[in-house]
Amino acid sequence: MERPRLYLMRERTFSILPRSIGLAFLTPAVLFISIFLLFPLVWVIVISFTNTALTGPGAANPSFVGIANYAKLFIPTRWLRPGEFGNALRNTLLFVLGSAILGQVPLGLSIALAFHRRKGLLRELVFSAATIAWILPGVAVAFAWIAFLDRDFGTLNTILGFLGIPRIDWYFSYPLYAIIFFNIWRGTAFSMLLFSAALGNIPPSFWETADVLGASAWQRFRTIIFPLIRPSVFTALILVTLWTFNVFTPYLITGGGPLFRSETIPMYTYRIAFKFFEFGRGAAIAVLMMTINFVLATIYLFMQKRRRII
Amino acid sequence: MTRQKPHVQLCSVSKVFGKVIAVNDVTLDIDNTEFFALLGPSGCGKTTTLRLIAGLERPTKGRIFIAGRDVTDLPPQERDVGMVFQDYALYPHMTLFENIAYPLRIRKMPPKQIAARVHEVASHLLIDDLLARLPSQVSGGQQQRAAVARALVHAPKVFLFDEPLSNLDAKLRLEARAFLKHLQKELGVTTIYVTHDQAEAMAMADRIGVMFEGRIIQVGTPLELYRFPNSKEVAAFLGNPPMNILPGCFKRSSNGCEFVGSVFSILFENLQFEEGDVYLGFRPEHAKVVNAPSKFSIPARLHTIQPLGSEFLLTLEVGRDTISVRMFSEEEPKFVGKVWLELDVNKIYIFDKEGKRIFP
Amino acid sequence: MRVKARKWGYKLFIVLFSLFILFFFVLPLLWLLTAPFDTKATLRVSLPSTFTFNNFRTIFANAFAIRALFNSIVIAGGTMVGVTLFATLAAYAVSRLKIRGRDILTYLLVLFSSVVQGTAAMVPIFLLLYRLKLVDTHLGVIFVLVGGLLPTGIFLMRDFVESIPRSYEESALVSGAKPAQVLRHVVVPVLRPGIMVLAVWSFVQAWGDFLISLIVIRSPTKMPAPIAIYSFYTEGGTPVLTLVSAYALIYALPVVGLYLFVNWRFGFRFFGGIKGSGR
Repeated sequence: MERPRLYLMRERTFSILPRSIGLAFLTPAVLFISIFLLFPLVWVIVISFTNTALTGPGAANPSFVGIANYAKLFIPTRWLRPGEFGNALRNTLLFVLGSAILGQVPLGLSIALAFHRRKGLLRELVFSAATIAWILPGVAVAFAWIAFLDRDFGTLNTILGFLGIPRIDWYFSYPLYAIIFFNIWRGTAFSMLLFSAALGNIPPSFWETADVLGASAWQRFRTIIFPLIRPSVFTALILVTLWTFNVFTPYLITGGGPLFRSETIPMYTYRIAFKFFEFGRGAAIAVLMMTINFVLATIYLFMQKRRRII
Repeated sequence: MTRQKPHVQLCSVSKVFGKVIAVNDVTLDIDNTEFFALLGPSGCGKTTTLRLIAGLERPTKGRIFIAGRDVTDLPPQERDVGMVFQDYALYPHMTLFENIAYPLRIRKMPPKQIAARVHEVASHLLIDDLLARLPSQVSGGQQQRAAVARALVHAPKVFLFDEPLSNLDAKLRLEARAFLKHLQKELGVTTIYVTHDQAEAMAMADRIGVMFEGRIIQVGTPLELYRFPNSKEVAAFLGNPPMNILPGCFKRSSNGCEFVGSVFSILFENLQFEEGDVYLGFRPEHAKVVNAPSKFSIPARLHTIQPLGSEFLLTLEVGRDTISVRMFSEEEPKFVGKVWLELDVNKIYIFDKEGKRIFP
Repeated sequence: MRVKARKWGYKLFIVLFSLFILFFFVLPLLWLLTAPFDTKATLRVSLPSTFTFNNFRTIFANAFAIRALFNSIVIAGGTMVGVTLFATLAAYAVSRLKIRGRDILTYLLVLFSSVVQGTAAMVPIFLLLYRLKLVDTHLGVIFVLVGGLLPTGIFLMRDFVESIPRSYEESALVSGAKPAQVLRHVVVPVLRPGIMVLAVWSFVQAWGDFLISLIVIRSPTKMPAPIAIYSFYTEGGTPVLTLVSAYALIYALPVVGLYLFVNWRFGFRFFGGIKGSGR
C-alpha cells in the first residue's frame, strides 16, 4: 500500500445524528423563532420610523416620518405630564427600584438564608406559598389583590386596622406603592428559589468553619456567604429587573391609574398602540423599551461570563 | 508457516481533529480469534482507534477491513461488531433483559428466539437471575457483565472493549480479568481491548499493540514486549515498578565500548557502538542489593524499604538518579545508608538518545 | 450560656419571620378560597355567611364561561405540544450536531426572547398575524406563544440533553439501530423527566397568558378564560363578585394542581442554576 500524504479531508461522521436529520430537527424551532421573534424585532424598529396606524392617514398609506415618533415622546415641556412618556418612565424606574431591587431580591435572599439547611413543615409551607403566588395566572391574582386592597372591605386594611392604622384608599392615594407591594409579593419566589439553590451549593464545611471561628451571623454573611453567591445575586438582579420592567399584570389591578399615576411603560405602550391604534408611536416606545431591555440583558450576560465560581 | 488472512486490518489509518492528530498512520493486522490489546497512556489515541474500528469515527485517511470486507465507508450499524463502553452504557429505563435483547430486537428476531438467546448468554455470564432488574438495581460487576452480554448476544464478528474494567474496584477487576479472558478463549471471537493498565494487557492479551502519541510503537506478545522492548517508552511502560533508566554515555575504548554513568561504568567487550549519550535500563527484579562491595557492584544509598507482603521494594539513590529494586525475602532486609547494587549483567538494556533500543 | 441564649433568640426570630412571611404570601389569596363559596360574596375575606356551591353551578351552566375554559385548554395545550416537541428536537440537534458558535447562538436567542417580550412586540405581532390572516384565531395565539417560549425552552432542554452520555446513543448505533430508532428507544425515554418539566412549564406560561390573547382574539366565542372573566360584570361596570371569584378559582386550580404534581414527582427546585423563566 502506497503512503498517501496526510491531507485534511472534509470530516464526515456517521455518529449519532446525521447532519440532514439534525437540520430537519432544528427547522421547526428556527422557523417559529424567526417568524415570531426575530422578524417582529426587526419590523418594530422599521415601524417606529413610520406613521402606521389602524385609522386615519397612516392606515392606508403609511409613510416614513423619520424620528418624529421618538421626538414626540421627549417634548421637554410636556414630557413628565401624567399620561406622557416621561411620566411612565419615571413610574417604571420607581417600580423597578422598589419592587425588584429593594424588594424581591433582598426578600428572596432573606427567606433563602432563613431556611437554609432547615427542613420541616414550615419551610415547605413558606416555599409552596411563595411559589404558588408566583405561578398562579395573572388574572386570578389580580382579582384577589383588588379584593385585598379594597378600602372598605379589603383584608389589608382590616389587618392594619388591628394595628390601629386608619383605612387607606390604596387605589386613590398610593397606586404606585400598591403595585410595588403587589410585585414584590408576586415575584419573590424566583429569587428565593435561586438563592436557595446557590446556598445549597456552598459546601457545608464553609458554614462549619465560620462557626468554629466564632463569627456572628452578619460577619459570616458578609465575608463568606455573600462573595460565594455573588453570581446569583447578579443573575437575580438583572433577570428580575428585566421581568419587572416588562410586566403587565399590575394593569389589571390599577389600570395604570388613577390619572396615569401608576402607569408603567408596558401599560403606556399598550395604551398608545391598542387604545389609540397609533402603531408607529407604539413601535417607537417599544423600541426604546427593548433598547433598555437589551442593555440590561447584555450587562447580565457580561457579568455572568466574567464571574464563574466553583 | 502460512499466516491466515488477518481478521481485522487497519491500513495507514489516520484521524485528525482540527489541528490535533489523534491517530497517526496506524497499520495493524489482527488475527482471527486473537485477543489483541491496545495499550498506552491517556491521550495516546487508543480509544480513537477503537472507535474508528467501530465506525463511531470516520478516518481522515486510510482503510479499515473487518473479515475481509472494506468497512471504511460503512456506518456502525452495518459493521457487525459488539462493543463494551467504559461506562457500560446500559439504558436506565430498560431491564437487563431488554438491554441485552436490544441488538436482537433491532434485527427483528422473533421474541421466542430472543428470549432463548438472551437467557443463554446471561447464564454464561452468571446474571441469568437478574434479568428482570434495572441497571440501577444491580452491582457494578453485574452491570459490566450485562454490558458484555449485550455486546456478544448477536454473535458479532469482532468484540471491542473500551477500558471496561476501569470502573471496578481492585478485587473485582482481578476477578473480571480472569473471567473475560476465559470467556474470550471459549467463544473464540476476535477481540480488541483498549486499556491503559499494562498489567491488564499483559495478563489478558495474546498480542499487545503499544500506542504513544497517535502511533503504534511496538506490536508483540506480552513476553516479547516485556523482554525485548524496542524503545525506552515501551520498556518503561510495561512492568510494575517500571524499568529503571539511567542516563550516561558511550565511550570507545581499546577493547570495546564503555558505558559511563554518573557513578559507575560498564565495559562491553568486543562490541562497538557510536559514541554519545545513551540510557541504561534494567528491571527492578534483575538487581540485587548487598551490604558489601563485590566485583560488579555499584555504590548506592538506601532511600526507603517498602514491605509489600510477598516482596520488598527498595528505593535507592545512585548518584543523582533514583532506582527501584524488588527483593524477595522472608525477612526484612537490614540495610542502612550506604549499600551496594549488583546488576544482572545479562539482563541490561541500552537505549540511544532517541530512546531506541540498541542493545541487546 | 450567653451563646445559648443568642441561639434561642435567633431561632425565635427565624420562626417569627417565617410565620410573618407565610402570612404575607397566603393572605391575599384567602379571598379566592372564601368568596367563591359565599352566596353574598363581598371583597371581604370571611367565612361564608351562606355556604354554597351555587356560584360554581352558575358558571358551569354558562356555556360561554365553559367555552372560555375550553379555549384556554386549547391554547395552553397547543402551546405545550408545540414548545415541547420543537424545543426537544432543537435542543437535541444543537447538542449532538457540531454547529459552530452554538453557545453564543443560544445565549443570543435567550437574550432576544427576554428583550422582545411583553408589550414591546405587540405591534409587529399584531400586524404580522393580520397579514397571515391569523388574527382572532387560536392558532395565531399558539404560534406567537410558541415562538416566544422556544428560546428559553431550548435553553432548558439543552441541559437535560447534555446530561445524557453520548455512549448511550453510540451503543445503540453499534447494536444496529438507525438514528430514528436511537431517538425513539433510547433518547426520548431517558429525557422523559426533562420533557415533563418542559411540558408543565410551557402549559403554565400559556395558561396564564393574558396580553397576547387580548390583542389577537376578537370574537367572544374564542376568548380564553382570562379574557372571559371580564364578562362577569354588571351593566354598570362592577364585577359580579360571586361569579368572578368562583371563575378565578376554577381558572387558578389547574396551575396549583400541576405545581403539586411537579413538586411531588421532582421537587420544585432550581438545581444550582437558573432553570426556568417566570413573571
